[in-house]
Amino acid sequence: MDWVGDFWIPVVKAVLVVLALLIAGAYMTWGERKICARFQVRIGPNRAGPFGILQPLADAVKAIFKEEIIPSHVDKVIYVMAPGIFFAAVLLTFAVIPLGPEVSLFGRVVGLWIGDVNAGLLYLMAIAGLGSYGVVLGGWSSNNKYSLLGALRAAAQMISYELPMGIALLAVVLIVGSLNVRQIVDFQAGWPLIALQPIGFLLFLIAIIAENNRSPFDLAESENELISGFMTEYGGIKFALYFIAEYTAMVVNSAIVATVFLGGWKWPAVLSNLHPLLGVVLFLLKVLVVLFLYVWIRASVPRVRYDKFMKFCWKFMVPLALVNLAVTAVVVAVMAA
Amino acid sequence: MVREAVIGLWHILRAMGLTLRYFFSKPVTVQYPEQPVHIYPRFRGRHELLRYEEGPHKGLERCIGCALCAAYCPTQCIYVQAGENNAPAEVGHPLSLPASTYGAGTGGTGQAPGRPGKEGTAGQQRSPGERYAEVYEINLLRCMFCGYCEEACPTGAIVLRREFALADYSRKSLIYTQDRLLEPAKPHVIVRDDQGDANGPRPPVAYPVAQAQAAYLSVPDTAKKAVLRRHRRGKDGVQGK
Repeated sequence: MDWVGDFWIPVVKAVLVVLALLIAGAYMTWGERKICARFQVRIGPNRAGPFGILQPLADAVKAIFKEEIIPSHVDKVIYVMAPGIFFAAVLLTFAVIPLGPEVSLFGRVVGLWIGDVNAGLLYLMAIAGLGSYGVVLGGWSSNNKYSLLGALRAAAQMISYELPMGIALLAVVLIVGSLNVRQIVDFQAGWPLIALQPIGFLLFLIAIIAENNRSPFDLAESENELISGFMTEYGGIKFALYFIAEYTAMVVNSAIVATVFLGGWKWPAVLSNLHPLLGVVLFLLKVLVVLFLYVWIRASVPRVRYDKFMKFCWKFMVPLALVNLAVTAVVVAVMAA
Repeated sequence: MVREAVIGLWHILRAMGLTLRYFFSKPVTVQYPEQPVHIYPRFRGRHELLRYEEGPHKGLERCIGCALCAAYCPTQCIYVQAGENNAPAEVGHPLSLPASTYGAGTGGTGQAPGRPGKEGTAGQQRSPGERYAEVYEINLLRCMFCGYCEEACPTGAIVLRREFALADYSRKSLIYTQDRLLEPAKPHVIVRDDQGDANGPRPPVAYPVAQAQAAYLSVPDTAKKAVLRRHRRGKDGVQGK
């Protein structure tokens, strides 16, 4: 067994990716506060360090030193576990996202991804679905009516958005002919899939915002009517874990959108062929664009009413996704013939 | 359903265009402790006890200890105890005790005037009248900054300045004593359409309080009069930005 190649390199890559994701998630809170502030003609955090860039650190220190409260009426084991499940699922999702091409480092050829899974897209869907367990279990174990309602909403929301999301991805699979994320990226050397699948992209974007519990689909944690929903009973570092997991999920989901629809590190190939690092920069830029879109949408659109969201998912998104899939299938079949 | 979706998408895009316009506009935030805030000319903040700045009484306190402000105060947050100017100590007048007696903190208020004895010794003139304010305290926790004390004052001794950052750590320190009230206010503000002096005069109130306006006019300040005349002509409404 090649210990270095089969064990140590993946371990190092995984550790690096987890660390990078943690920092990215923390700084996404800062980025969102900054960008959101500008949308609201404010300045945003600017006291901790220049431009407030130490704000996430200050928040983390504060959350860590808060008193650890476990309410007496909660289901303790699940209550403590739920944020961890959420966070773990979010971190795991990133495993199949390729950051760049294969590069030679220290005389070895290293791929800039953690796992090269054949059924990568399936893996993405499966693990992303697991994240909802964190929300649902957290809300249920809190034993609080608001949390329970939040959890119920999260569960109902999940079965609503997962369907159009999966169908939108199926169209991509039909076009590329593979579930492997690396092959999907390689396919987009000429054109990103958003050009071939604009409707699929929109559906996927909406679904992924819903998966993220982000405004306008933040029904599970709506501050106004459910006082933060499933997070009501959480405080201190456990709340911070939920919070940072949510922002990390934004980063991860943006990475998925960038990979599947915006060409990943590959497109435009003219640039990414110059240097492998340029590909990584391209990928990160695309992630940032999607993240900006997240905040932009949040700053522009109010929360959708719960029943309207369900109606929208089932009566509009699912049929549209199915039509999209059917049309794609016909076109692919005609092109192949 | 499709029509609804198209219209909805259009509206969302319009909303996003609107927010994007604001994204590129300049933030309106005032970085308060560093930057002054904009306030309106009639803003009423912390009180200040004035001294005569010119004329024969230059340097003397305007307050003559008449306690009209305390009488007029709706919340009764002012406490005034008068002392007698030039009272010879040997006469034995009840109020002719050396001021150092009060200065040592034996006064009934529990709050020493905070004034060292040498300044207030008997025989020294602290105000132009017969009496002066031996103790003058305002409980800012009760004060509602209505400005009636200012209207009541016959000598224009007490005015409400524009200093507003009055937070403190204890209730006791928010009972302002005479020495603190005599300190000139340093409001960290920009007064809208004013003469550039943050401590400048406030335009008079809109309702006719003849006495107050007479007192206001009696102050020899041409700028004040100009403001009042302009106000009478109805050209000086408070304008929003």
